[in-house]
Amino acid sequence: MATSKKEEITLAIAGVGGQGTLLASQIIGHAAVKQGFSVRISETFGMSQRGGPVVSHIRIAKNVYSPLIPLMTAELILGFEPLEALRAATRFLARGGSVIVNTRTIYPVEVNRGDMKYPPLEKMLEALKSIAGEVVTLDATSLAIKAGNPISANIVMLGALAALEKLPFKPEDLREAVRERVPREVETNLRAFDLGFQTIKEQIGK
Amino acid sequence: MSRAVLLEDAPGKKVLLLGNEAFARGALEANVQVAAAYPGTPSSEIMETLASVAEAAGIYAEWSVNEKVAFEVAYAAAVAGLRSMCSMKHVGVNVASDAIMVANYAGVEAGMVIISADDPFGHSSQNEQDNRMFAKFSELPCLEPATPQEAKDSVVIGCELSEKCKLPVIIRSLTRLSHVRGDVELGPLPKEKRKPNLNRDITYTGFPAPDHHKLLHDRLASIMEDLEKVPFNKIEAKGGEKIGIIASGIGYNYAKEAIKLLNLKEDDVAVLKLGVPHPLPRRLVSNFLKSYGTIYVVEDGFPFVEEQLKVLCYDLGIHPTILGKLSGHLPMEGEIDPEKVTLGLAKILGIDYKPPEVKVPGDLELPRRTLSLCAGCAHLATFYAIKQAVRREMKGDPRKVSIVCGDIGCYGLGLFRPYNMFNTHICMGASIGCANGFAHTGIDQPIIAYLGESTFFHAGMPPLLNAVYNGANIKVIVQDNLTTAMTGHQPNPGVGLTAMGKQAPRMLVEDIAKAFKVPFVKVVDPYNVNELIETIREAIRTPGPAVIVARRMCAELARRQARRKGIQIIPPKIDKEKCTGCKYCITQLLCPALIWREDEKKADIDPLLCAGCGVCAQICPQKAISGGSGIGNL
Repeated sequence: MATSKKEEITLAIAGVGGQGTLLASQIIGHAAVKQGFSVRISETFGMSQRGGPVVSHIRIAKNVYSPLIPLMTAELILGFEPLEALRAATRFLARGGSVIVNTRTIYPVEVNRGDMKYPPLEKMLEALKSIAGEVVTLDATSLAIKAGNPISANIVMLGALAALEKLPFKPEDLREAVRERVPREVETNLRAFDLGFQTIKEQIGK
Repeated sequence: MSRAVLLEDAPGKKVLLLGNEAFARGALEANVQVAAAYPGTPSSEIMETLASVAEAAGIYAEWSVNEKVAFEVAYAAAVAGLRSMCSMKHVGVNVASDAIMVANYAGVEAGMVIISADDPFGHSSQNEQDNRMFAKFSELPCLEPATPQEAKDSVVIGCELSEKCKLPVIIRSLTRLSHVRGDVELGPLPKEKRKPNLNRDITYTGFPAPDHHKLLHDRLASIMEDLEKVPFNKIEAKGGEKIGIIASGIGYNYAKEAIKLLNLKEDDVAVLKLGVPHPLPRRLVSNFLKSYGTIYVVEDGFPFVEEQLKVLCYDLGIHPTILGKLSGHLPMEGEIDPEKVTLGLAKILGIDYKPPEVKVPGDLELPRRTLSLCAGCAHLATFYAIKQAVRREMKGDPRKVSIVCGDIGCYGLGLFRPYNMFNTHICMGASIGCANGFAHTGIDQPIIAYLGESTFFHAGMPPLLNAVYNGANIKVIVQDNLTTAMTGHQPNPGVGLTAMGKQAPRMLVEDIAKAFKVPFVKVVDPYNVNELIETIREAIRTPGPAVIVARRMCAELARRQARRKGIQIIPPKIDKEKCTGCKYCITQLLCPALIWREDEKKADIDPLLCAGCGVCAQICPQKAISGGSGIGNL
């Protein structure tokens, strides 16, 4: 769409069950609906969550249809874990799109047992760079601890997402959605959001 | 989604709702006053949401012990003049079907909807059944909403249609609707509650069957005109397009996506969005069928609409080419997605389209991340104990010298590698049912049924009674984790709490087993692994049915409780001098917190995952693991 102001986005959140991807996608969706957009978010629930890979498909536009993202059409991958970021980017990232990676690794059971190898982080980032136009990284877990609670890593990731300014609404709108949708530890979560935001802003030098 | 949003009387306001939350909101807007359900993915959040606001909304909501009871609860309310709803996963409707197949003859007075959440691909299910077939089987009307907005509206429309024709209405949801969030415009909430108004001159029954069967047919016929006008039906056509797509339910979303992906113009393809798959709105569909030489049918599940269209064309004496699942333009198995629907459309139009090839860049080999039971999960300890007890008692490989019948719950994962626990895994309660059968085959080995307490209350009690009555020598292990864990920790009769948070008498599995006169009943803490192993061995040696209740709170719940109580989780220590790197703990207990350090060739414990249950320390052959605390101290 050849408009100067962004009017839609397709993105995916990739992570491991239990990392708080559901809440993160809800907050993005809430902000989008408040700004008058139509939204579809498809998520992984239930048994498939037990330690498995989870991907939230998020589509924001004037009119949206499929709740599933067609292959290689996501403009952005918000990766809560490096291996899952690469797995999801391989399937869904529009080549040349953006990837945000939380560098904190979570080993699959197969790796923990010594049955399979976890690829080196640098190799995975290299692979991501070969298909993405932009790859930014942060240690969201450490930043969340700095903000006051390691559980807030998902909110750090939202701050990072806001910093790339690819959403069709303002970073403040997403920050406000955090305030509205996370009832507990509001200050900690807003700090977490700001830390993610600043870290990525510094990295991209804007 | 907050409670406040669900109760807000703000017509026109747009909010983000999960499909299942939208169904719950729809129930409130439709003036549903009695709702019942049994949890099952992907349906559970409907009742979770509704129950959380039921008291404030002045309505009644319950987790029933199974789907049949849930249906009957809702049915009776609708007979008594109150609008009602029951919700369940697709296979739950099988359980409820005995009642549905007569309630359709007997009819209702107030509006009643049955929400069936289907699960094509079986993301969290053991089959891919399409419950639109149940609509045909029971001859009931069926709505198929496509979006969270329509999910909400379908309950209101469904209740109105139901009340008009005096038949329950089936609403078919699926994973990609129940678990999809979207913008939903709220409608008004009703101002007044109804009072029950049971007509005592009528007995609600199927007898005599032919008369009531005819009543069903007349009632269905009475709303045919209304079904034509259901707003989920929509034609997007100007006339003269090359082909027509008939897309049922969520198939519409993918059809629109396919048109976009192939860069087709709007006037290349006409679309009939169908929201009533049964009975078909005949006039609407006939007119569309007559306008196009080629029809592409897009639907998730069975070729349900496709087959009906072929019958309809025969009646109309027309012969358009009808393509879809039966012609191989869409697969018969699995769930449809944008690529599959696009591929079928491209093939029909002769467009060269290949879905992009998914290949990991840099030729990296990405390790799988298979599902696993949680660190500290008591199922892990009990799985281990069963294998050990059989190995020690029968002196052989447990897979060869025993039969273990599995059931439905988190422990269903026991069916996969690396657990490899089960010989059978069929449906709710079938662990005990199948064990009954194995016991009468003459196979002279321990026959073990394994299930959770919620599953036991749901469908495990009749087969246990059967085992005592018919003398089946089976060993039933009920893992009581004090919650319905897999579907998101709903309460059940063993918890002593209701859906609306009220106290209830707590049912204990051992009390029921004793009342059933099971001769061997014991309760063990699975975190005492040796005691559990010895109890299972004793049960194996004792002829006749046995029930062992292994009671330990779900590790995820326990973690939350520990956090609230300020109990710190301290992982046990592995003495690296004593650890020989035998990997026994890792390969036998299969706890995800136990990890392998390739550099030092020793086992280790992931401090972030460990819940401090203390089981690994008990099983290490070298006694190299010690200390630690956490959920094991609750």
